[in-house]
Amino acid sequence: MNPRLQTDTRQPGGPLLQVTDLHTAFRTERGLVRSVDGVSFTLERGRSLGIVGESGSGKTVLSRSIMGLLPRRNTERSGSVRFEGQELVDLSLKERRHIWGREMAMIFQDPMTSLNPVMRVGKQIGEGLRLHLGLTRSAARATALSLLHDVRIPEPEKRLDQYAFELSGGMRQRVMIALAMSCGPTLLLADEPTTALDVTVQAQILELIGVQRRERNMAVILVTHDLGVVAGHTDDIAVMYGGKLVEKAPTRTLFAAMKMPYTAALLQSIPRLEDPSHQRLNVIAGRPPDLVNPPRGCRFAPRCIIAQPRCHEEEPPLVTAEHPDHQYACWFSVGSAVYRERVDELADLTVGSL
Amino acid sequence: MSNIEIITDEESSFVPVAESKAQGRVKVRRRGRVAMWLAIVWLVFLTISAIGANSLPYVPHECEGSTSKCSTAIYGDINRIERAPVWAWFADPGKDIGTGADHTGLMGTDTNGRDIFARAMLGARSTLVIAGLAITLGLAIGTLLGMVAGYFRGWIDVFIDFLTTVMLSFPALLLAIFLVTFFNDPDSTGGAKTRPIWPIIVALVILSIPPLTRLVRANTIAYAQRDFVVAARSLGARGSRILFREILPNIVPTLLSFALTGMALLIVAEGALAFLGLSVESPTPTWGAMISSGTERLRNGVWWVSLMPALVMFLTVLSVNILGDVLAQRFNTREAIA
Amino acid sequence: MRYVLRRFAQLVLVVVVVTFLAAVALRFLPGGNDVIVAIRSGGGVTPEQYQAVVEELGLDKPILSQYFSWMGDFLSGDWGTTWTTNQSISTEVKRALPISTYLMVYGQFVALAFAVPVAVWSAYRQNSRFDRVATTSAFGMLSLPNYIVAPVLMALFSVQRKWVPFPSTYHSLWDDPVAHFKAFVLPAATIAIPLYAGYMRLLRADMIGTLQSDFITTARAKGVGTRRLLFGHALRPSLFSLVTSAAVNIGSLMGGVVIVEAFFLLNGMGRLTVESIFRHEYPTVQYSVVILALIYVGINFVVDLAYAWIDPRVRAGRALG
Repeated sequence: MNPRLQTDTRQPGGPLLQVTDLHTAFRTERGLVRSVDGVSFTLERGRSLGIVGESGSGKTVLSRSIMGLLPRRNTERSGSVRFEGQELVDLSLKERRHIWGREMAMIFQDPMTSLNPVMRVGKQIGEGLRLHLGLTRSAARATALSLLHDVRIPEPEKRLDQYAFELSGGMRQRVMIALAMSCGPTLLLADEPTTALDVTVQAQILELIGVQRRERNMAVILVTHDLGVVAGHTDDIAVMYGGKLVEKAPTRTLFAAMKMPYTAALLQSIPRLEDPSHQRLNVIAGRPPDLVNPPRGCRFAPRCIIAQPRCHEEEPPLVTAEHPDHQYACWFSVGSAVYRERVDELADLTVGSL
Repeated sequence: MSNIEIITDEESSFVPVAESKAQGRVKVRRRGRVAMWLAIVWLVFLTISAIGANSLPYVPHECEGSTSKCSTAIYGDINRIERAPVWAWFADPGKDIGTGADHTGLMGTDTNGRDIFARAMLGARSTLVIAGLAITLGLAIGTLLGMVAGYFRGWIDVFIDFLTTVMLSFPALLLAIFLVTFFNDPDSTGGAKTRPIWPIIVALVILSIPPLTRLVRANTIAYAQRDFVVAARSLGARGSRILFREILPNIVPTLLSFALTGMALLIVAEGALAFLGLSVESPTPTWGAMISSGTERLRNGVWWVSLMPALVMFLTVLSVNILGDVLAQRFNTREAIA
Repeated sequence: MRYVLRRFAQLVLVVVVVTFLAAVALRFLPGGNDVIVAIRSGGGVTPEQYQAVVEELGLDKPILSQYFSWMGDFLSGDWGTTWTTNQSISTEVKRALPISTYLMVYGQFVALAFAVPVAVWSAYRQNSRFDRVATTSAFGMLSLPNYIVAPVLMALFSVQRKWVPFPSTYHSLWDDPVAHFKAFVLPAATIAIPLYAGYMRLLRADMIGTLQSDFITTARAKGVGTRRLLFGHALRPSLFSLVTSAAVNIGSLMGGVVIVEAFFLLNGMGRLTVESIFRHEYPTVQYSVVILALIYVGINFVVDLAYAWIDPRVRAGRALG
């Protein structure tokens, strides 16, 4: 057994996941695309972290980068990812494969395409069990059955022998969750798990993930573009923009006292049920930054309503706010004098709430 | 997997990749371009040589009367039977060869002392003409049938599809052989008239129609459902107008690429027929016949009579295939021909 | 079910047309009946003999009845004898058919045995040196007609090295297995080369597509090993084009390997047909062409059915109506 994987190098006492200055870039015809440009955070056992951002913010690449599930060619990765104290970044493929499924598991956005279309569901779930835990075929099948019970799929015995296309979207995602849980991982990465599902089903799936988390004391990283998804289901939230982490705080703190104007804009762009109909949606003007040639200074500055000259020149560092676990990267921040002045200006110009 | 798979992904070896100079960019692959230009060079060379084949004394020789009328392709030099090519230093000279220079010509001479290179270029004429004509005719007819079937659907579609299936259910080569023999000598006594060229062309045309029809039909159906066709129809355009003005221009790229690849196949098919002795008669040389007659001598170690024409044919077919492939990639369509 | 019936109806129609054409082709030979009689009897004939021949060949009967009587002969197995050598046609065909079948089977086997692993690895390590070499060489192989490959192989292995006898005289598998295989090595290799190239390209393209699918990422994220990933997960959904092509080739190879059979002097169906064409043995031509066409059409039909059955999505879709 590879000595690097022996668990006595692990430190069960410390944080579960420690990401330090992670950079991931892809070589393309246009140049080097810096999808993740220096991200650091820590995740404790059993906690859930939501990573929020627009498309192109780098959130998906971040989650895959943590797993190590990146393509071999034309990918550059640097920084450190420590899982239970053990460095993951320089592991070989074989070594990573031992971790995947068993200690870290991932579920993906579109369950229709993420499940093997020509393999029966039971077999797919059982595969990890047989591979990592060495179960026999019948034991794997029995375990798969109990997993399907856990994820509350109706008629689990029948499902074992069905194919992916015979299940509805919500059921497929449950299967994915069962698959991910099968070997009892300590960290679950969920990449937009509800985006491809109906709204009614979304809540159920998120609920299910929460239940599993508590029962298994498993840490969860929930990647999504939807603030509403993370609002009720995460302990902490990290906001990403342009490949960088721009704000991180415990969930309540974030919603109560957000600092980054981007976060504020995100929140305000969520349409509200009680808004009058035909109300214009609040969109954040502009487009995400070009990750090959990112702008100097704060990456959000071109689209920020309170952008000052300094914002275009210097990139703001991560500073701590009032709450010790709340960090943000902004020169001026929500609630500052500059912000309030600007908001008043804009209120004079437009009708309706901002 | 949208934001992961930004890696350049190539499906064919012959796609020219954009050049880039800055750091961190993907490595450039210029191999595809090289192949394409080589192919073009070869084909141009071949065409020019074919046109001027009769005045090809690429091998020096003497000729009674004026040198300009002496074609080494047709009139052999008895003193130079079965000479190996100039560059073949390894060819064993001790093989039934008389006196005089042992090596000669770009590709050597054959059993009758004729220069193989000149003959091959002369043979290029018949091959290129036959294949070119056949593919053009096949293209015209097949496109018509395919468009009609694909656009109007209904009974005519069923009928045409049926015809296509029937034509495809005969083994292609056998069909060609049968047709050629059928049209060639109606009487077994077989007069000494020179064989007409049209049976081969007809046979090849018949071979190329079914796959082309299927291809055009599929494409027509796809385009017919697009909005611009519906728009044209709503303006009162007639079927034929729509077919020729709206749909045809869109399928031309696919057709071009098919034309090239199909032509390569027809060259091979014509070669097969020539190999069996069914193509144009000697003394006009054809590649297939040259290869065939050369195989007997292969056993005695005289390899160039058979393999030099084979090389010429291979290079030609390869070049045409490369161009067809390049076109297919350029227009982003890949249809399986065979 | 409706699908099956429709395909079957099409099959029947094609069979009818094919046999019809074969049966009545004689009437349309340029030169008319005189030509045929001359061929049949090899020279000058008296008016009585002329009439006898015409009757024998059914040229005086109306088209349809000629067709029916021909079909009757065909189905009953009474195929008559060849015109010049007076051999039983059915015996000749029965002798030739297994030879072609062997050739086809061996050729396909070799082609697939190489194509599958090469394609899988090329797709996995796309754009690596292995991949580039494999793709380029496959492209080149597609430009090599079999009448070039055959003499080259012959020169290399029968003349220079004398490993394999030339021409390949056929030995039955049971009599002398070694000689049997020796006889088929070169011809099978000749037809395997373009087959391999085509299959390799097909499978590689499909594998590349499949490997980009999400479910492959899921399997990877489960910790599945590379070999299992490639062959257990990715290969099966990628096989459709390859299997279809291989199946269709079964039929077309039977008659299409004429040149190879002629060159190596193997008396398979292709060679039989061609020699008969040359020698104007029209009845033989009729029967062998029909047999070959039937095989081809029949196989396509089976492929269509199997295709619908294999893909569980299609199968379930049909069950759901």
